[in-house]
Amino acid sequence: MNKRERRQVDAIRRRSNEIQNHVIDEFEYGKISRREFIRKGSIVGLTLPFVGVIAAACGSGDDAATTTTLAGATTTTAGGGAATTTLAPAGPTTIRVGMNPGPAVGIEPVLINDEIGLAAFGQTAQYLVFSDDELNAVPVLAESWESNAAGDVWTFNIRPGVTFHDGTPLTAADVVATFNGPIASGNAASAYGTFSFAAGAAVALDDLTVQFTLDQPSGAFPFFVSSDNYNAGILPKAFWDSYTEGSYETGAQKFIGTGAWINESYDPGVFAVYTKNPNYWGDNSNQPDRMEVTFFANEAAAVTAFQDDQVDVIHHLSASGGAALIEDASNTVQSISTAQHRQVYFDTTTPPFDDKRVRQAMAIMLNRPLLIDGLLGGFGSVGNDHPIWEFFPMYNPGAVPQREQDLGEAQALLDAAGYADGFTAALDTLEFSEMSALAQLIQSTAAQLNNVNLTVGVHDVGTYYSDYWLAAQGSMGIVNYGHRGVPNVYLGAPLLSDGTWNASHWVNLDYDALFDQFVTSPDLETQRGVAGQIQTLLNDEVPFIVPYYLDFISILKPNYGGFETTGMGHYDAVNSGFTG
Amino acid sequence: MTLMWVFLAVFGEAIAPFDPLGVPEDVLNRLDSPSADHWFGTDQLGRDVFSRVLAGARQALTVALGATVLGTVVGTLVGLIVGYFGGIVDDIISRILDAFLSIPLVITGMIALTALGPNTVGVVIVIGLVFTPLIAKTVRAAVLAERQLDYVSAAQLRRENPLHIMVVEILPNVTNVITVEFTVRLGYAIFTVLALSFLGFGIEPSVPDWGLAIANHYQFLTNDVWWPVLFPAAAIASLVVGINLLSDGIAQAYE
Repeated sequence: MNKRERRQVDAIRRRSNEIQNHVIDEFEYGKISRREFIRKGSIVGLTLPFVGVIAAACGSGDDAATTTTLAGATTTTAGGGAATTTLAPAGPTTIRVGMNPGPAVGIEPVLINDEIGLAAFGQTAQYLVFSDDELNAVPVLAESWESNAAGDVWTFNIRPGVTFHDGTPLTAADVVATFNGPIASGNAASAYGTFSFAAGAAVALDDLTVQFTLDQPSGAFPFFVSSDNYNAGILPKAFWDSYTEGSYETGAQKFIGTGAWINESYDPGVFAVYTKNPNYWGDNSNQPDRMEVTFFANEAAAVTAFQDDQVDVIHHLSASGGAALIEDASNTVQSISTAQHRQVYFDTTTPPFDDKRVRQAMAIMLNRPLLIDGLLGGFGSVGNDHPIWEFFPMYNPGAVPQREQDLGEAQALLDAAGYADGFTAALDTLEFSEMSALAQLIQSTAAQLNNVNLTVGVHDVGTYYSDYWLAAQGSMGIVNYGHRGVPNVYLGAPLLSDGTWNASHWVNLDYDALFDQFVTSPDLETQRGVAGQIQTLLNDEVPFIVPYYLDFISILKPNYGGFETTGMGHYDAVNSGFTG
Repeated sequence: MTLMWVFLAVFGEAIAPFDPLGVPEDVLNRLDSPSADHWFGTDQLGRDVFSRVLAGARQALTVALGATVLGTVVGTLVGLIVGYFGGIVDDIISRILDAFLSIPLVITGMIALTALGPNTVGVVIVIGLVFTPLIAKTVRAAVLAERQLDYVSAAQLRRENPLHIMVVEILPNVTNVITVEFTVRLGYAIFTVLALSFLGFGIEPSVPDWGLAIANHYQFLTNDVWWPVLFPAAAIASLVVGINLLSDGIAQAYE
């Protein structure tokens, strides 16, 4: 670093708070990579110009550089020079998007709890912050943000000049009405419920400034108000004042938002048409004029429609169901690593799974690379029986070795636990993607142990969640967890002793204490240390198995490009278009 | 043809070239097309389709046979009682049977299996009870005709027990009707069992079942993967046609 760069960095340090300076320290002293610095800096509120200056001054050019354009908000996702992704040019054109299935509970901001619903909602509504595919917190309706030194008061500066589709300007009052309104009450099943900060926590300081006061410090709070918390799309105060269930689809202000797309029509669960927002606050000069979205009943129908050239892209499909399209070299396959995973949980309160050696045996019997190759076509990465994904910055790589298949050790564990003669148990899951196949492979693997018989039940989504998920008695189950930018949801609801999604009925006060330490850790190094303890504890206790993490796969026609997705299922087609 | 499937129901698993339930490593050979190693190809978990078709005969025949036997026994009993006593007993029970018959068969099965959960015994009981009204109505009609005959009147004059008259006097004379009804219902039972498993009710996913195999693989037809669907479908068709021909033969023999 030369003298000029040193002066620049010092000047930035003087304008930064304690948490921001800690992140700068970690980068300057080589404790985090350039990519992690940019990501962490964006979370704690370092503005992008500052991040760029510091990265240039302190960095070693270790990461490749890309620039992602997100609906007009541009952010550098890795340091160094600028290699901008060239998006396909667009003229007066229509793009056709295929999704499957339809939105589970409609396009209903309070009740949305599924990938398709949140993706549809995200076309018209936007968030303060966008959690992108590389886990960056990208400014959208919040231009910038900062916290106090303790990390329990966060202030967001709202982007000026933004208008809703009806022409009314976005103000802090709309943000406050969104966060303190209906999504903050009686909504435990959705994303907002899992982020659970106190109702009334948001206060408008002026027309363009909102402050959140938290019950406890959180270094990841920007993700709490981001697209990860998919219920928290910013809608007008007037909408919330007259809100009734379903009014986003049918009310006077239906499909209102600040997004680049304006809804023209919607046939519920079947078809939606959007047109370009001429008054969009960002740069949407390349945006197609029209977007038609078809919701297919199942993956097979979507695949057929793609083959018949009825759609230009399938937003998300599984490696197994979409194999024919994936293997067709003329199509463009986009896959991104995600934190989406399956949890193979045990009822830890009754035999045989009240003995952790039995749970360990079930975990160690699995051939995880085989599962990824066979079920996911290679589009995934191995899990190690904790939900801290290896690409989360707080992941502690040295905490616990990767669990590998050892049938002899699995049988020895069962013998030691008193189950040398085996046992019979139910294994229930839902009819979704490869989950039924995973259950059958676990069943056939268990059959290689001495007289271990698993009875597989595959249920429709509604039956599974109402009758099996949290009601497991002496049995096993498999449930899906979608992608998140931070692991707080995974570590909270399914694992805390009083967690609302604790299907394992696992009670461990040491873990509860570790979780509190994790969410209140003031810096990445401390959090990584706690994460290591959590990884070790969960890997040993095995309240659930995490066999693998899944990639998010989209399929595009060869002449179509610029369609971006996130691991959670949000998509951005604003800069998409056709070539040739 | 029916005899062939009965033979395979008994010995199919033993002569199958591969374990119909497969092993985990099979998944690396998923959806392989028919070859010298796998005559009918492999399914989505890499299991040998030929072995699963052979093993599936036992599943289809045992469940359908169990359900048909249950339906025939209970239906015959109800038909005998209703036909013999007539009057208000006939009116009340026949209206109840009519009410059951007004509900579509598969819908009744789906509702019952949703409540009972997926298990083979549940399928046998549900289909057996669903068939009971159909068989009871047929037996009732035959018993009504028999009741008018002199041998029944003579037995009544001898003050024989009504149960004795129904079982010893009347039943042997309606056996032909019951036998034909049994074979007809067996064909329907196979279809119903496989329709329910196709719809995802009643059968555990790993069990080699023809209906389930079609349900799990029809989505791949668009990808030119036809073998996991075609062979189980052909098995269903041949078994049902075989049983219907057998039913026709039995009916003709009685005539």
